[in-house]
Amino acid sequence: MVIKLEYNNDMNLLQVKNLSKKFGNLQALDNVSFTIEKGEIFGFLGPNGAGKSTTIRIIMGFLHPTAGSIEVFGQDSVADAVELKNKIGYVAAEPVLYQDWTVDDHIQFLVNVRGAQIKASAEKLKKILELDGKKKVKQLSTGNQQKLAITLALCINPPLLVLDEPTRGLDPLLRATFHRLLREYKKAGGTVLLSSHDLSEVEDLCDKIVIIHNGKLIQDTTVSRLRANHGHKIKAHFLDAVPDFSNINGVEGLIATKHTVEFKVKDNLHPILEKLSASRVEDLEITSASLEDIFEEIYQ
Amino acid sequence: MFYNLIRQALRAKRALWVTYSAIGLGFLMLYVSVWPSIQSQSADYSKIFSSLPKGLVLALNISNETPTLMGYLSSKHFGLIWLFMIAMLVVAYGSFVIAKEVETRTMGFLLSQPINRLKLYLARFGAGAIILARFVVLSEIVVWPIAKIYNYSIGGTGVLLVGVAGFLFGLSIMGLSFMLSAMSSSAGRVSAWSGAVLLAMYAIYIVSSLVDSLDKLKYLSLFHYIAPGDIVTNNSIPLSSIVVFVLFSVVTATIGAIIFQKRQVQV
Repeated sequence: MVIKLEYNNDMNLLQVKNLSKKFGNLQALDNVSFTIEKGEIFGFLGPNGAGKSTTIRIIMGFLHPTAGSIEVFGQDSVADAVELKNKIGYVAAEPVLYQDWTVDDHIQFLVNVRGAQIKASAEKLKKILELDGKKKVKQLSTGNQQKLAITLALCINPPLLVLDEPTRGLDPLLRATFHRLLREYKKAGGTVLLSSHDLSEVEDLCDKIVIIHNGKLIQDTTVSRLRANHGHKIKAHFLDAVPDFSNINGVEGLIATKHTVEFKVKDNLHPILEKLSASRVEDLEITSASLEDIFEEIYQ
Repeated sequence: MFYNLIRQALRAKRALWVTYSAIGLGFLMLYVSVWPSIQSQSADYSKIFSSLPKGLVLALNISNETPTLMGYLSSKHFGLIWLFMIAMLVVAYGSFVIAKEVETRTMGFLLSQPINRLKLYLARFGAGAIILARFVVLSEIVVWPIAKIYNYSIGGTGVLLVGVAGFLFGLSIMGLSFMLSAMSSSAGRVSAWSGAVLLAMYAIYIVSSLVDSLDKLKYLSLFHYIAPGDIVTNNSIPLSSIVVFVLFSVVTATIGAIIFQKRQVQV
């Protein structure tokens, strides 16, 4: 076990309240609000340019909101930025490391800033993630640079991790190792804000998700609720002619041929199943809508 | 932590001050080595200098008095090339401090740590002062041992005073480059702006020396307040120069600190 958290706080860890941010005429964030509770892995989703990184930069105190505020551990993300950094581990979307420093130089810098107690967990993480401490950042591949960024964020054992696309550049094996570390971190009481484009990662890890698009919050839900709201995909092959499903409530996108029918249904499946059982079905496939399908639908 | 931040900046910019110091040292050795031939032709030079306009002689820091090694060095080297090297060194360092770190995003690494921005700024300024002091020592104070190698003797206080004046001059330009760096996210832009301000100051200094009616403009130029030739001749740094350099440095560096404290950083 690498992760040992010593913080105990029962309140909402992070509260984004009516957050707006403008860059000149560009409205990057428009009245966004959400809350992250202790012990959650919180998925933060949206297409490129949606405002995810801007929100994260405000959480980290790099940018100031035009309106609204962010409270982390009850403290203001801008006014108390320095103090809050003691409790936040951060992985940026783009590499922010010194090209001429070695892996160990980065760890030593953190030891100098945060204290010698982080050295042991940094060494363990280096071993788990197979990082060569003597190598300079400029000699590392993108994936290895990302491993270093993850090591630096996790080794300080923070109660909150803010991760902006942390698995970008990692191979599937390392991704799995990272997911294991995150689960372990959660088990130890840690809280995670995870911005990601990888929907399977979000599906696997996140308790709650927020989706933003063009700076506006469009969903604040759980993965299972999101799926339930977006229903099922049904594909059936009949031995006889296809029955008429178009008059059933909630049926959308119906495509029928002589013996095959394909559609989505948002309401409950009961009437569909009744109709299917009255016909001679040769093959039937009922799947939950994938996150990809849901996002495609939402973003359109 | 403050000490670690200073050490980090010193380490990051080791190549910068070592290179500049080596070049400064090289120039110094070159000037000292050609001194015998200059000395033998001093009467001819004296004639040439006396035929030049007084303003030009002043502007180029040319001394028309009986030449000494330090007098010669202070007009030829410390009065011109050395000052520009100081300016280039501190501008290069100043542009690295904030603008370059924002540009390369390493500022994101620093600001994601519990580091107070003002402390970071002051540590960087402190490291800059150390770099400048190292350059001054390695490119100017070493004139004593170098002169000794060539069997010349050189006055003590003059060397020290030129070093102090050069250091203060450098500190004032560093304040300017820190201020510009705090506003920008591009190291190239900081260098360009700093260079433009310094060139404008130098142009003002030259023009005000040549045109009597524009004489008062000289007070706008930092170059007016540093004349190594006069410092060596009078064995003192004018109080006005010390006040101007210190004030300019404090004011510009403070404005920079306030801007950096308040600025938003896209990293």
